[in-house]
Amino acid sequence: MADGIGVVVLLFASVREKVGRGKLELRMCEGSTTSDLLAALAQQHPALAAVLPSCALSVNRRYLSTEQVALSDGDEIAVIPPVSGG
Amino acid sequence: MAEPEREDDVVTITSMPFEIGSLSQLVVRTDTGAVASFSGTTRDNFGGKRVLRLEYEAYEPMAVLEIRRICAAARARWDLRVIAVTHRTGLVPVGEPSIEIAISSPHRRDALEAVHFAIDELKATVPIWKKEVYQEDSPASEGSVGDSAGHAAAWKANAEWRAASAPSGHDLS
Repeated sequence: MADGIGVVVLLFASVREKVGRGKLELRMCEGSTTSDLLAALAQQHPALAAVLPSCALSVNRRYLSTEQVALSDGDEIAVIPPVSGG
Repeated sequence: MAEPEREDDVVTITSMPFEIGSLSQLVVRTDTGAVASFSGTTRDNFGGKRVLRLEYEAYEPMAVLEIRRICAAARARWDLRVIAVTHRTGLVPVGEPSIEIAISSPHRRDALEAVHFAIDELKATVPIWKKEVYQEDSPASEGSVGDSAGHAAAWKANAEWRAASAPSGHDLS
């Protein structure tokens, strides 16, 4: 058994292409927040560091409406670059 | 928690082609006096470059939730009956529709204004992305990426883009 929490991070469009994958699985310390997650993503995938500030985040399919939230085991986070639907 | 799903909000994300106008028939009811619709089709040019095709990608479950949220917001402002929204994903050849919205209401103004609202909101918040693939091997510009055949391509961004919150904490609105 592993300590901490496991979260899934989904990447789309330009961000997915930069990383070369659409889905990452990360283990974080108990009590980690979305800010911690972003720091971990930028560290593990340097190509992301430059684009993350222009992206939004969703947690369990809802846009993050505050600056950060605590993450729970099994959360689905998506990095959402500027949208271009329509 | 998510709002309960309404059967008269008909939201579809699909890789299948559809005919322009196909949603209008779907929203007509005997208690409606008006149907308004918007269809977005793929254009063959951008900034002087010839567009070969468009590729759409969606975060499908969240896109459906966000579109349903837009439907609820429209219902709060106008007297509407049926709302149908279809967005296509995958490869969309030039000239084909990528988005259609059809709304019925007892009176025309409600449907007309609600359609305008719905497409503007969709372009601002719904997690769907469009990549334009150009005919020319255009000189690489910032943000441009190639496709597997070596054509220049670029992920687009809607001017309306308005995330609830950016991770940096900056309000993008």
